[in-house]
Amino acid sequence: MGRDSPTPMFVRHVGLASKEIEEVRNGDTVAVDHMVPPLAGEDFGIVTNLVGTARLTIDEIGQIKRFRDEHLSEHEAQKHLDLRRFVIRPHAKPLEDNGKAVCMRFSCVGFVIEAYRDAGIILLDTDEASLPSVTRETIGKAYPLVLRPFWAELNRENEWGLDDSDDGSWPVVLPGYLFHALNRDEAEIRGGAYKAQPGDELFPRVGHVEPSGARSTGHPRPA
Amino acid sequence: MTVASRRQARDSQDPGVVDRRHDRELPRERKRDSQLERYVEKVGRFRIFHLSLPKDTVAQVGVELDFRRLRSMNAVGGPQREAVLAKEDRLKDQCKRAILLLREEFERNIESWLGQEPERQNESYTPASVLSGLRDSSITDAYRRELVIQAELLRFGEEQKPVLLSVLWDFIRAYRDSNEFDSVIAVGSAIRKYVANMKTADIGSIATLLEVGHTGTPVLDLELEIVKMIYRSFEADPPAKSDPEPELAERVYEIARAYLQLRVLPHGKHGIVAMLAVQALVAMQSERASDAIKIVNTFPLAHRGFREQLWRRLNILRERWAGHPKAIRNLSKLKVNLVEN
Repeated sequence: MGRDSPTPMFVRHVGLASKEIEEVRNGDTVAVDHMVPPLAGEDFGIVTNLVGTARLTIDEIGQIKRFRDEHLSEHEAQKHLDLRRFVIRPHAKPLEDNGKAVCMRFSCVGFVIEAYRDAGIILLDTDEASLPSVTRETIGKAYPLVLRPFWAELNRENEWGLDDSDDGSWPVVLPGYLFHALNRDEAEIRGGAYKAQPGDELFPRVGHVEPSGARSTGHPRPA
Repeated sequence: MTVASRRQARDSQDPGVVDRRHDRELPRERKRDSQLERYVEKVGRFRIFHLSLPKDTVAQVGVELDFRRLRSMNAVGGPQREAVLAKEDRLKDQCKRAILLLREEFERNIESWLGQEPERQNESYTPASVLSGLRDSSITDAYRRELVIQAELLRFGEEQKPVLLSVLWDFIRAYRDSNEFDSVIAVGSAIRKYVANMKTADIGSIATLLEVGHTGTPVLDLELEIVKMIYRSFEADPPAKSDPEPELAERVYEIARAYLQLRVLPHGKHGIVAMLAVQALVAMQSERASDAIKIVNTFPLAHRGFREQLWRRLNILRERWAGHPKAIRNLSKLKVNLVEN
């Protein structure tokens, strides 16, 4: 499930539908498992503008649920927005103590990608060499905190991964990439990872908006 | 209510205590409605931040607790009973409206969390202040839980670690049998921090937390944290010899055997606890790993996803141990081959 930013077609936030859904209209509130932060399970929901699916089997949904259950407890302890349990680059990275993972940190799209990966579906090529470099302004449309004046301090304190860059851009996984990855044939989705292209932060990159429904990459089943 | 004001509200009173001062300022007939609204708000807040109760439960809990007394009056007959039922319906409607308001508030918070300045909530906590607080026997339970949770993400110096381990162990032992959700969450946090900071060679001492019969069966959520951290410890620090902690392995195998049942596995968190228990046995290079794998191999085709997921995770363990040839050799001696589907 995806949610738009104020920039047209720019996907700002994504999560996994908590339950199978028959139909989603643009603007419907859908219960989701998502990285707010903190990670939230079977949440009240987000206003949904986009829907994507890999046509998961019951067995695969079970695997994704196990992945969620493993990490959910690490975030339940936090009652407030906690930026230390969140990461932008890479999309998922453990917070370690003595080399042992205490808590897995995700970006919103990172949580979805890793949940699918644990269920054996590799949606996106997340190797940094394969990712388009994006500027702070573009990253800020998904994660507005990086547009704040004190963003560099936040980045350093919370280890978000946006450290010094020669050209002011970073290979960051953005939420929009997920919908391009899901906007492929089922066999293609399961056959290999999607390689993100410049401009994929928008969905669709070039195309039209369905006037009555949420923009969809397929049948509105759990993403 | 903004995030900041909510935090202030939380800090100003124990969340488990209803503020009675407000009641005295209200006309008598409004007291019950006010209590319900505030209770639903409290439950809703709990729901929003703890994010674990299904939303139907929120409504149910809100109605359930505030109507307990009304239900006891249902034995009353005649017009009085009708009046009671009418009042109950009215309050149920109020409760539903309150839930809807909470949903709107949640939507607003999403925007707020994604787009506004964060709270600098960790500013006031340092490793020294957290340790000092946890050693103070006069602090409230709520504050002790808060300190334990804050400790999880702080970096402690080597000289502070013996004290940290001591206060966390005391907390785990004192609260592990608690029936309060907040305490279970905090104990889970303490277990993660404790196991991550202890020497892997000492990990056998946590076997006592998995014993059945202390004051009851260990809570599933805590079993999850324990088996997860056993796995993560040995994943980061492979055992120098096979089966280094046979007693701990036996406790973990008890969990695996109990939950690796097709009637249990799909429900609640049993699936992930069973999965992590098997992973932990393999990472410990315990003889019990092959016994657990044997059970997994009996699963019918419809449950092949569990086997496939376990197989992928064990392959990740092999990759992570690539720099430890002895551990890989010992691993290959274990009969942990999963059947092909």
